[in-house]
Amino acid sequence: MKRRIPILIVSITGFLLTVQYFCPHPYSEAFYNNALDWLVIIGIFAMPLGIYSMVRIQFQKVARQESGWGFAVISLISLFVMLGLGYTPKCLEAGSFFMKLFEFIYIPIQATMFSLLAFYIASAAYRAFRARNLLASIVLVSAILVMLGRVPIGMAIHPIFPEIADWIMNFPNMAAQRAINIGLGLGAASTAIKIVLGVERSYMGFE
Amino acid sequence: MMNIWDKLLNLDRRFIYLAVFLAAIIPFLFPVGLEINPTQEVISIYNFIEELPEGTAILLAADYDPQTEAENGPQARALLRHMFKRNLKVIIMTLSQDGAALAEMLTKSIAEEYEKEYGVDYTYLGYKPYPSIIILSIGQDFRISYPADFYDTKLNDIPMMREIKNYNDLAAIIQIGGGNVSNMWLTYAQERYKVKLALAVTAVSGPQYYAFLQSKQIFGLIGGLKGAAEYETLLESEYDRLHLHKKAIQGMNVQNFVHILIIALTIIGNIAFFMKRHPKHMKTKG
Repeated sequence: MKRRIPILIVSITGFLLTVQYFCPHPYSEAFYNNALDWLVIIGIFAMPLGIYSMVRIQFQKVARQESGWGFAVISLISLFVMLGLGYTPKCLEAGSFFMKLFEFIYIPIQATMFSLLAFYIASAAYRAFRARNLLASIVLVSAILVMLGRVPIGMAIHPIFPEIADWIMNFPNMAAQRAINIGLGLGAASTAIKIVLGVERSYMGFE
Repeated sequence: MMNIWDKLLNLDRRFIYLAVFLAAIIPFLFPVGLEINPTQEVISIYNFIEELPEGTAILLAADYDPQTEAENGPQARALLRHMFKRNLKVIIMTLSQDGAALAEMLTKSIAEEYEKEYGVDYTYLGYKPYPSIIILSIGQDFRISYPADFYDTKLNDIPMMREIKNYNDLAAIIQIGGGNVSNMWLTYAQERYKVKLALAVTAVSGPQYYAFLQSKQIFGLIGGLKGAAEYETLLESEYDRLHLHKKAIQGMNVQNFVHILIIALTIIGNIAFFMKRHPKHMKTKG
């Protein structure tokens, strides 16, 4: 019974929402709106759960003085400071302490993390991007042509480079992306059918 | 004893980091200023906004966070400037949890440039979690997920929002971001509600959306900083009129050099790799 009731709820909801998609009746729309409300309500429960989980793990790290426990302290302080400041009046106004922390600490930290990718990509391109066989050579040559064709200097060297880059993007790239998307779509559809039919049960925590 | 190819193959990565650093800094100090030619996918967004009648409502989904601000920020600024220049009614929202403050700063600063009035010319809805649910619910009514705007004013009390219920009242959605949220706009807004959609995404996400461009599921695509630079080029007279800094065009100087550096590093790395494997070299070594 513990397993059957959740499976039954999922199957009935999945079936009704599938039928609803093809049925533009006011009752069907009302059911759909109701389902959206439920989705929001259920989704909101994930947030305190996530915060609780994060706080618990970081507290454990500090209590056991595991390696890197100092970072856990910083995480907890950052969490509670931002959370606390987020409840102060006018916190979202320009020049507030909350906005200053966001603008002058959070934004630069995030931007720095992403910017570091340029350094790693350059290093990886030098060390690992090798024409070891035919397929790797095709990827290598394509990458060089696209990199050259996607910046103005490529055009300045020769107008053929942007044209080659566009051709690579519009034909081989698009064909590969489309194959991936169709595969993903079929995979998602088959998983959804398996869940509605009760074959796939791993979402409940057991096979 | 190590020969030159061994030395090249074992080059300390700090030299590579230094080269990237210099390739990023030097063009800022000495810009080259090469010509930027807008591509058709960017021109189609520009033309679409240009041809909309004044007062038409449009949705700008600024779903990016500080990580990709360098690429998505100039895209957002150019698009919003164009929308305000055309006197469109702009609804701005974000589905990125770190994007609420960014989108607000963007909206306020560009609205000030054009002296736009809040609630009449534009509305900022702010952030709501669970993107797919929000996108689906807007198809029914904005008020399901956004009963009030970012500043807690009820949507019905905002003059421009009184006549806007759902996607049917919008000319289009232009989504800025890339990744999962862009896919959700495609699946749940464009495909389900048949609303016109264009995307402005990071360069790394760009290639996966060309298929949607060809199938006309999106009517335009701005890819990375290059796409932003193309849009700034299209709006050049406007940027000059307001004496605005063309951030993306300046950024393209840096991209020029870094791309050339990465190409050069790849070629040098491969030459060293093949010379090391060359029979003559192996014989000498053996």
